[in-house]
Amino acid sequence: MAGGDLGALRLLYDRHAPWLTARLNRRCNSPEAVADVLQDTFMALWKGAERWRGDGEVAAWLWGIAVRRMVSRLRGHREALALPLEDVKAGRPSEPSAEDKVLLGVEYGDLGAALLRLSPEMRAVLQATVLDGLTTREAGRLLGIPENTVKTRLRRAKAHLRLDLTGSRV
Amino acid sequence: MTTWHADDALLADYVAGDAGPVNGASLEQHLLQCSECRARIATHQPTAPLELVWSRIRQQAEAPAPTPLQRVLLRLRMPESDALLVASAPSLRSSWLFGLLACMGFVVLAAKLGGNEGLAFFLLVAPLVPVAGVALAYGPDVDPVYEVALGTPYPAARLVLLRTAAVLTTSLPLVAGTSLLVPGLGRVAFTWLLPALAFSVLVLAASTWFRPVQVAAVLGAGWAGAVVTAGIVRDLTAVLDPALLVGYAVVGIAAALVLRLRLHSPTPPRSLL
Repeated sequence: MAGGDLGALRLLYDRHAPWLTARLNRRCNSPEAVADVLQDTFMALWKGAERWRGDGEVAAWLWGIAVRRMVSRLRGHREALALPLEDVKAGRPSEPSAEDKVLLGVEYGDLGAALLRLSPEMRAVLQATVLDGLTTREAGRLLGIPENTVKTRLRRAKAHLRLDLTGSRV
Repeated sequence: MTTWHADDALLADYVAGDAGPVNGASLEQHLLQCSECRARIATHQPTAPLELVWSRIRQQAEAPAPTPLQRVLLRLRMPESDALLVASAPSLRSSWLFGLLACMGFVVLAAKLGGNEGLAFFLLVAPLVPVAGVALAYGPDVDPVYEVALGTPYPAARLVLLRTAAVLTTSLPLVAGTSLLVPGLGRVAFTWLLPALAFSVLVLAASTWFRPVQVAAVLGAGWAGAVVTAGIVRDLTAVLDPALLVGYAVVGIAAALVLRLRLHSPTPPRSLL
């Protein structure tokens, strides 16, 4: 597609821009920044700067580009950074469906509650690395902390979760 | 693959930012795998902002590729809009640079052929090259995007100074290089810089009243006349006499002050806007 026709790009845009926007919106308070990141992401596709190696889902690959563009876009504008795992109160206290429970493993170890018991700093690191797929270095750049701090917090967060989920402490 | 799909309530909550941390994170992982849910989330997302971003993408994708100069400026971390404005200056096109190179080539050639002619050519041309470059960098006569710039909320002073800086950084080293190739210049190899800079600033200051090309033409004619007269009456280097050099410096500084005043005046000069 690189350097190819605009129609193909439009097709990709129609399929992926909506959910990318929704996901970026949960990480970034500034609509302008989200629009910029979206534009950057698809321009990177267009220029062929990022090539799909044909392995795995296109969606995951696109998210990988978008989240890295977001890291560089938000550098120096950290006030626009939103960490959805922090807004505990915003969540509607809806009863998760049976499928949800299975999907999350909530039934067994109550991962949800365990996640919420982590400190905001640890959750931020967990989200950036485990959920968003950033390297510890990129996560450090996003959160404005040294890479080693990211590693330490990640290790501690995992230890906390393990402890919580195996029930050694509740 | 899972047969689980997000229900509309969850998708709506997620788009609104109300899905809660755990449900949100789980949906995000699901969306990476499920094209059906990705398609359905689109119905919850307002289309107007998406179309706006798409129009920007299409515009950028259809825009002409950046020129080599633009790429250099972008590499130097200049903002894209600034790079485009600087690179569209006529006196920064490659044709201008090639013309300049040819001109300097003739000066060197003349200097190699005969002794005094080289000095005369150099004196005539060297201080006027940056002046011409500055004059041809902006303004209604030469700028292809002049009308566009008029209608754009972009500080004119910034445009003029950016382009001037770019012109000077390309033309001054070229002329300086030439001066090293011309034999018998003596201190003229350096002192020409003073009138060159003074005249460049003078063009900028005067262009807040007049058209830059006209100002440069008058200045150029004056300089040529002075060099020729000096050659006939005494010797060529009289135009770079120490006493005169002080004069050039004073003129340059005065012009810079005038330019500063004019650019910062509450009613900016029309010719620059």
